[in-house]
Amino acid sequence: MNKIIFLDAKIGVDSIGRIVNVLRKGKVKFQEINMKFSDENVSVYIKLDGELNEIEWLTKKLYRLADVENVKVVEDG
Amino acid sequence: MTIYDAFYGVNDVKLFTFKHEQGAIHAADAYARIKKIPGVVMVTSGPGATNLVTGLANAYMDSSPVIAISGQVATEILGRDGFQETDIIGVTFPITKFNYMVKSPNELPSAFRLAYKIALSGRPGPVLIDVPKDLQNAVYEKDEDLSKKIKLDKFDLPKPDLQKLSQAIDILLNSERPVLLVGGGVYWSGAWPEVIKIAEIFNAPIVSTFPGKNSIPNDHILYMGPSGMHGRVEADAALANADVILALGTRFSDRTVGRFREMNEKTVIHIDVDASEINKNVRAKVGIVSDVKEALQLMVKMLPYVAKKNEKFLNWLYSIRRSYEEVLERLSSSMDFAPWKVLKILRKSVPADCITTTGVGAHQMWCELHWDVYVPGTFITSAGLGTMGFGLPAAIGAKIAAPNKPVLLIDGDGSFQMTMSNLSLIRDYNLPLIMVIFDNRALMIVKQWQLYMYSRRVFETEFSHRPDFIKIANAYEIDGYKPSSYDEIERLVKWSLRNNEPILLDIPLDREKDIVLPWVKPGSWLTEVIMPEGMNVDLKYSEKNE
Repeated sequence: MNKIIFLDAKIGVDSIGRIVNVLRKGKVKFQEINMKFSDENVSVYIKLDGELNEIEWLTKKLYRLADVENVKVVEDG
Repeated sequence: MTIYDAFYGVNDVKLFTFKHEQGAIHAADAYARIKKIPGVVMVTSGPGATNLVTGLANAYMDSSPVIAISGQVATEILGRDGFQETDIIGVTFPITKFNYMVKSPNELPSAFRLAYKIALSGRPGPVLIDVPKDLQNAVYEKDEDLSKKIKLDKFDLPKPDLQKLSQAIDILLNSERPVLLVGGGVYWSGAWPEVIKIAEIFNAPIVSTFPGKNSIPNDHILYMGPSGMHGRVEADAALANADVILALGTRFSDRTVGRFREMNEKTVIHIDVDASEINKNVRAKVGIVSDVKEALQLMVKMLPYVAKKNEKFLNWLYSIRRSYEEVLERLSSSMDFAPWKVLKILRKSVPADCITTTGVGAHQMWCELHWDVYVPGTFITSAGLGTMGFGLPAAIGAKIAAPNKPVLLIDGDGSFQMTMSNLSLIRDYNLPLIMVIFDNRALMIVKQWQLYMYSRRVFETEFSHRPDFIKIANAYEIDGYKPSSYDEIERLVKWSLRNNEPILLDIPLDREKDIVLPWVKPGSWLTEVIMPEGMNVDLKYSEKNE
């Protein structure tokens, strides 16, 4: 199942480091990851393919990160 | 150095210098678990910081609020392989709840305030703040508030969902054999009175995880013990035969349930502060994200009268317990020192609120099976990461946290040797400990795996007669003894307590007999437990069982 996760982060590449380390735990396939920086604010777009349970779990783990907010999961397409 | 220097002459902060940074962070971890406030460890850059890694991972896995402050090279050298430079932020991303390199001196006060709050909020965990050297030397001008980068309110716990609580109550009222599974989160929530209340209302057995042993008075009649890999058979039987499990403050570790497949066939009500733990390993029919204490208090108010049930089931579980203890009594007659008997002697020799820490190994698993925790918060062990060497520095940290309480370390010879350099703090800072080494001269649990799972190919898990632990203790001006009887163990421990003197007891154990059973092998289900010789109990409950 293809899904897209959108999120915002607040501490530049250090936030990305944290996010990537969470993503690495997921038993999913990553298709695309895009980041847009505005000073230290980062908007991240993650396109992935996996079981819904697994994607939902990853989303909860991402939301737990102190410097991450506005985590949304949408269907791809 | 500048931060360190700033403590010179400061009287209201006490510093304890450890011989290795791993010891310092384990001590801070134990301190935090007892005081329920962050334990703080401070290290230099480079190898000082990297020596924290095991301790951070340990605190992360056991959800302990530790704050680590690391020095860092000056900002102009950063990233250029300076002397003692390590990217500790990069190294510790996966093992910290949060980490942050300070970018200006104005951020420092806010960074420390945030570290404190993040470490404690929601599910506790370790936080690392990295402070470059030039910023330590720079002039602070005004507070730069970092809280706009961090949404702290996300860690505020939601109120328990009343509809879900109502659903959970319906399920419990219609259950036949409900069982409570108590994790370490119950301790952090202070929820054991409510757990006991619910268990008593339903007359339901209480099973714990290994960290959950610290969450509930182990002498309560309904407490069966911890379940899982090195859990009690009656606890395994309770969980395996439950139709409904009320899981509280637990993350459903594989060590607790053996196999997830069978657990997923049960009806699970899961209450936890961390939403990401619900449905992670075991599917919950009802998942409630909230503080456990608050949820259970509401549940008690919402419950109607519940007719007593489960007597037959409980009696069957108690009969399993009796079978195990009868077998152990027989086995102990052929041993100079049976580990479980040593634990019973130690338990009766120290007061109920004695704080006990353990290392990792066979001794720890014997503690899981046979150490009775009478007061929640007095059993400190490395459960999630299983870090050898945790015990002694944790005991030191416990003594710092609770100087007026006796502290008992139960360690293995292998685990003890990993951090025994920290013995020097005992006399240097007047931190008397009772230290008991279960000395089987082996990495016994590894040897057990070799025997049972690797066709008895035992190699590189047995040690020589070196070192002499008594001489090691004496080198640090600590009395050491090798007791020759259970009575002597009791006498020496009581002497240590009476005189508030540190002591080390080296208990020789037979490494051919020190096999920790019962044992649920990795990947097995709870009913497939290997029982000690002479114990043969069917762990499938039927209404015909007494």
